[in-house]
Amino acid sequence: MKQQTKSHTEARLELVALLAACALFLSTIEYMIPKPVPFMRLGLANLALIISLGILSDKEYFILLLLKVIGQALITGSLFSYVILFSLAGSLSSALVMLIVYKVFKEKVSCVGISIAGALFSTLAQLTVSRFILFGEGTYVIAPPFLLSGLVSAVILGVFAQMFIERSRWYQTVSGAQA
Amino acid sequence: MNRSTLQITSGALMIIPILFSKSLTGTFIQAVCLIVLAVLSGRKFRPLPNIILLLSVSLAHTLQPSGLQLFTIGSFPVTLGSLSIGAKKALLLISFMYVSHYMMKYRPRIPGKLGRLISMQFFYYDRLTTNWHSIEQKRPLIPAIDTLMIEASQNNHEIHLKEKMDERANLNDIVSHIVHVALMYIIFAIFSHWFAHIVPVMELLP
Amino acid sequence: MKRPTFVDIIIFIISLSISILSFTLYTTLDGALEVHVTSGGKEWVYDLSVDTTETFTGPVGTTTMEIKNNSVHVHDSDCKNQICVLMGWISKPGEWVACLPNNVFIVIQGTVEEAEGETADEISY
Repeated sequence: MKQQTKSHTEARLELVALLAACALFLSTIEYMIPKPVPFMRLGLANLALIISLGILSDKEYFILLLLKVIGQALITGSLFSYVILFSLAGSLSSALVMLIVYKVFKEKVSCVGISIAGALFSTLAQLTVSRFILFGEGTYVIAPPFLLSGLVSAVILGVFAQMFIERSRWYQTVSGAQA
Repeated sequence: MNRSTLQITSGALMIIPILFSKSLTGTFIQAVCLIVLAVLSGRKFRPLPNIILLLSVSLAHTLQPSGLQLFTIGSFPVTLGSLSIGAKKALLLISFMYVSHYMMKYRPRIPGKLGRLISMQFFYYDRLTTNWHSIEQKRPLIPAIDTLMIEASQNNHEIHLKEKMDERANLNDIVSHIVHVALMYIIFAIFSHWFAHIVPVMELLP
Repeated sequence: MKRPTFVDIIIFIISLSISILSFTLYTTLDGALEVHVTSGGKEWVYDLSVDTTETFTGPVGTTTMEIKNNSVHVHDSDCKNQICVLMGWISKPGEWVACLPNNVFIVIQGTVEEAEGETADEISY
């Protein structure tokens, strides 16, 4: 009996690790897509977090968040650089907001709304960091285009995430396994 | 001492002279040295992102004028002081980026439960990237990713956590790391105030 | 795909309004006051909201200007009459302090909009 519970937690951890790997995989894809503005980000890796809301428990969700940030930093070698500050601020605030929106509105909100709310707070947090370490007063100039482009990519990502959870067989198996 | 520990410790020691450098020229030379060290550690150097960072951060700082006016765009003054504040900040960020690359030459082994989870994450990551190349029909995207996730989560009863043996640092490693760290402190010292006091020519550098 | 829900649309509208409202940041930027210093044919520009101390060299010696708490004054000058130091602190656009013997002229300027409003005053000087 004890053996079985252990293998259950083990299976859950493997699921978290798989989703974290998926986030990492998506950020590698994003890295390969050429962008018009170098600082503009699509936030493809966020897809893994949005999708995991319906699969993981709160604790597992935050473990995933941590793995996503550390994994990205390990791959790009930026663990000890300023990039980690942007990554942490953006990921943490958007993850928190997405979880809150998901918990408060439940089935009244789709991935699109969750994605937009997350992106808004991610951009705001990153602009705050930028105000202090990167652009100084110049942040006020880049803020409007960043907020707008963040909104556009959030809508696209949200639609994609929603379509994925509706059509994916993999999602059906893992979300069913939890209940 | 293990190699990865030695690498991370030397990088951490370098942060002090980088952070406290007062001179723009000094910071620039430190950044160049760090890029060379990172490239020697097997990291790639791409000039374009660094140039874009340098230009955009310098330009952003011109919004807050400070110092000699070089020229105006309309009624907007571009000043030497704000450009150099921006350039120094950008060079500092570039330095930190490459110190980080340098420190991460050997992927550090994180101990405990978190470390195990990260190894697991990278196991799946390898699987996802290899499988993705072998998937023939990548469009439409959703079924392709779906197949990828199903394949990756199957047959995982034997997760091989790749643990590269962390070698012990030999004398050669230790000496070269001491040289690297000393280099940063020497650059810092040369461009610091007391040195300019001894060699007054240094006062003329920004 | 499911149609977007009511909550989705509300979140979208909030996010869009914040993005559009953020464009007003551009106008607040124009309101910043600048300190212009002219000396020996060159011009220096500083932000009035950033505290700093700067020294300028003229024919008589040095003149040191101090910016503090959104005001500026001449802290000390090598000139004989010391009028510039006695003129005290200035903080409004169009106001100026000068050290004539040392050829240092300090004036506060508003950017774009305010500058236009001040021209009338400047002419009437």
